[in-house]
Amino acid sequence: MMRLVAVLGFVVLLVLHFDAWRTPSAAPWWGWLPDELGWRLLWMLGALGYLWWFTSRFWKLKS
Amino acid sequence: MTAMLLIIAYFLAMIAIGWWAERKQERSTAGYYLAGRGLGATALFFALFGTNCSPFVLMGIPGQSYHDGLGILSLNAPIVALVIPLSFWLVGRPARSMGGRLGAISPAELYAKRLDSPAVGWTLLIAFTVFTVPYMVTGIQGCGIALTRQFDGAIGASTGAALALAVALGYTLLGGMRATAWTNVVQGALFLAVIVIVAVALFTEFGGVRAAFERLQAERPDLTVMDRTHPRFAPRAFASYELAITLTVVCFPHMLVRLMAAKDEHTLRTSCRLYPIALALLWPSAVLTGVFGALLLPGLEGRASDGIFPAMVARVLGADWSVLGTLAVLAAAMSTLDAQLLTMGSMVSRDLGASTRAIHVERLFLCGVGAAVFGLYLVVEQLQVSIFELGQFCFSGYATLFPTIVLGLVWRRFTGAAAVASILGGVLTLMAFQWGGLPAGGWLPVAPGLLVASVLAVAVSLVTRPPAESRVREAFGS
Repeated sequence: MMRLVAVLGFVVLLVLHFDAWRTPSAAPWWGWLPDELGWRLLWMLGALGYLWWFTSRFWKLKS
Repeated sequence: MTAMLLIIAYFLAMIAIGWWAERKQERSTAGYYLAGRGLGATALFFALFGTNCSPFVLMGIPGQSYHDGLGILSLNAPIVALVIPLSFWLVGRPARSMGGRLGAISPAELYAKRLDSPAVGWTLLIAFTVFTVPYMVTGIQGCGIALTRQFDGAIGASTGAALALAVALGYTLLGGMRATAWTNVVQGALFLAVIVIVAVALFTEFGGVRAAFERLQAERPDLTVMDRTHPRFAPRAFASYELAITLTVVCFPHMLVRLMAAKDEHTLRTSCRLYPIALALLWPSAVLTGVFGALLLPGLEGRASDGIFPAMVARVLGADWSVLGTLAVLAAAMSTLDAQLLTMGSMVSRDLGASTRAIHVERLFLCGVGAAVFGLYLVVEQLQVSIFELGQFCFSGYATLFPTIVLGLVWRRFTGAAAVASILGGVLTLMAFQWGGLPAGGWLPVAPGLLVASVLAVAVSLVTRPPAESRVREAFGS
């Protein structure tokens, strides 16, 4: 079950990254941050969370 | 004068670390090339980070962002921050344990032993050489640009390139892997600190982050978006590039050998977790330096923008501190170059020659590699190829090795014949599309190259005799 979640999580991140389906907003976030930059930084934050979860769950250290 | 003294001090510090490492290391080839397979968390993290971050990031990325804007961040940083750490888990973990069990020193030797096929070792050696030597050229290209700029042409680009190469060769010759890992700690910390300082100073110059982006939006709105009609960002070209930039890293022999040198899995996992945090500091800073460089220092054409990072350091920190930019470029270049020199030396020595030699004979091989790199550098300078273009070619080539690198470590049924077929098929397909004029339907040549390599790796494995069970058990430990 957790393996499926890991695979799905990875696929979701890829789909969000290959975002040709998305129409970028012309308006900057909070009036100043370019949409392109905000979107990518947010994605990287999500990827970091995924990576920490993944390594905790699937990279068990042998004692 | 101060700049000259600081650069000399940096060079001397690197040589001193090499000398210290030479005194500490055990007198064996595993001690010299893999630090006795005992790199701890700090050394390993910075060795991986420093090795991976070359002038491609510090000069090529700002240079390209200067022309193409924030799309360069979208193209590189996010996917790299996810997939490279994951590849440490997928490839680094088994490569480390398998390398130890088989007593392999170089990546080509690892695969030759695992697949019980000298032909695999030879094929990998040739492929690694074809893509590593030009990649090393990008490193010394960056050093040449930075030094000639720092001293207003008083030091020529080729002299600067030769100087950086000689110093990297010097400490690598002295202390092997231990020297390169600990110099990478200093170098990685240095270039990361400088690029973050530059980004902060840049925003200060504009009067704050908000003011900086508002001015960018007002004066160069084209740089704030990723233009999907631009050939570089069209969906198929974008997807192909993502394949190249992500799959390439674990196929770098100089990264593989670092992963093989990890002390234990804990150190490897720690590096995996810290890696994206360091990239999140480095990449946006590199891109923004280029983007805002287009506002502050407009008018650079073509590959002239490769010099925007040192130019911006001088612009936002002042002429007195411009040497920090030069030091950062030297650190980034040499932290990759030393690992490449060491790995190429080990492969030329181990995979072409005897399995044990005196360390001083091993050092002669490193000198030969250094001479070859400088020869190619002189040719590339004549051809006027940019760092970004040369880097992209090398990354595409490495990516076609990915099926062999992964399947060799995780699939017991994978065979030596399949590895040779996959490598040759992938590289030849890449070259046919790159230079043969074959239409790729909007994809970059790396996409068909990787497809052919993957199909051949699986298909040939299924139709050829499985490797001997005894060797498979020895390699996989069960």
